[in-house]
Amino acid sequence: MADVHPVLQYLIQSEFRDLEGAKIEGQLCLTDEAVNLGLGDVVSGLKAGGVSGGDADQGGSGSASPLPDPGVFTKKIRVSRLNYRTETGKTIVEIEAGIEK
Amino acid sequence: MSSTPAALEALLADPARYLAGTNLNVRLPLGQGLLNTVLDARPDDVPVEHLSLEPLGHNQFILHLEVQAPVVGRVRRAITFSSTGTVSFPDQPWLHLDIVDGFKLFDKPILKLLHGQLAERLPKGVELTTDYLRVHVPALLTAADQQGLVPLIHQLALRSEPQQLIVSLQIKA
Repeated sequence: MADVHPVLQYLIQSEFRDLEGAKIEGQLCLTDEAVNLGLGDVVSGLKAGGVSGGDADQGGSGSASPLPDPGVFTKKIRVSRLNYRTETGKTIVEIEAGIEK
Repeated sequence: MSSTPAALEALLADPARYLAGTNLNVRLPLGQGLLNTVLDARPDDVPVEHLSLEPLGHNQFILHLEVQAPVVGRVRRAITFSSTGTVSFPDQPWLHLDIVDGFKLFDKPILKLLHGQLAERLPKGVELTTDYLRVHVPALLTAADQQGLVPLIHQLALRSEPQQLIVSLQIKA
C-alpha cells in the first residue's frame, strides 16, 4: 500500500472502528456566493476531464487498490435527519448523522 | 497532487462570509489505536524515542513518553493528564490539561528539553510546567494558517473515556 498515509491506512484496515460514535447535528448554511464558487469548481473539474495526474493504476495486475471500497465507510453512516431548504441568498442543510457502532 | 478546490479554499479563508448561519455540534471520538497511529506518524526529527497515549475514564489519560534528556540520559515517564474545562471563544481560548501524576522534582531537564522542542515547532501559546499543559487554540490554528477557522469554533472540549478521547465542538458562523 504505497502512498497511503499510515493514519489513513490504519483507518481503512480497522474499518473506521476508532471513529465509531462520531456525531454531527445542526445546520450548515451556504451563501449563494459559496454555492456559485462550488459550481465553478464543478465546471472546471468537468473541463479538466475528471481524473488528473497519472497516478491511476492501469496495471490490473491483481494488486489491491490503496483506496478503500467506499462502502466500508458509508455503510456505517447513519443519517437520522437530512433536510434541505433555501432562504433568500442562502442554502441550508439541516443534518443529524453519525458513524454507527 | 490536485490543488484544493477554489470554493473550499474561499470557505476556509473567510467562513463568516460564506457560512453565515451555520450552527453545528460535532462529537468526535478518537480511539486509542487511531491516536497512537497518529503519534507514530510523527516526523523523524521529533526527539522522542517513544510516545503513546492511554485514555482512561474520569477524563484522565496517560501519556507514555521516552526521551533522551540532557544530563540524565534516557528517561521513561507516564504522565497522567486530567482534562476538565471547556474552551469557549473568545472568553476562554486555552485548552487546559492538569498534570495529576508523572513528573518528578528532578525532571526539570526533561521539561526544559520538551519545552525547547515545543517552543521551536509550535507558536507561543503552548505552556508546559510540572503542573499543567495548556494550549492556546487560536494561536495553534493561526500557526497552521487556519486563522479563518478561529471565529467558527464556539466551544471545544476534550474528554477522556477508557480507550478513547472525545473531542466536542460547537461550530458557529
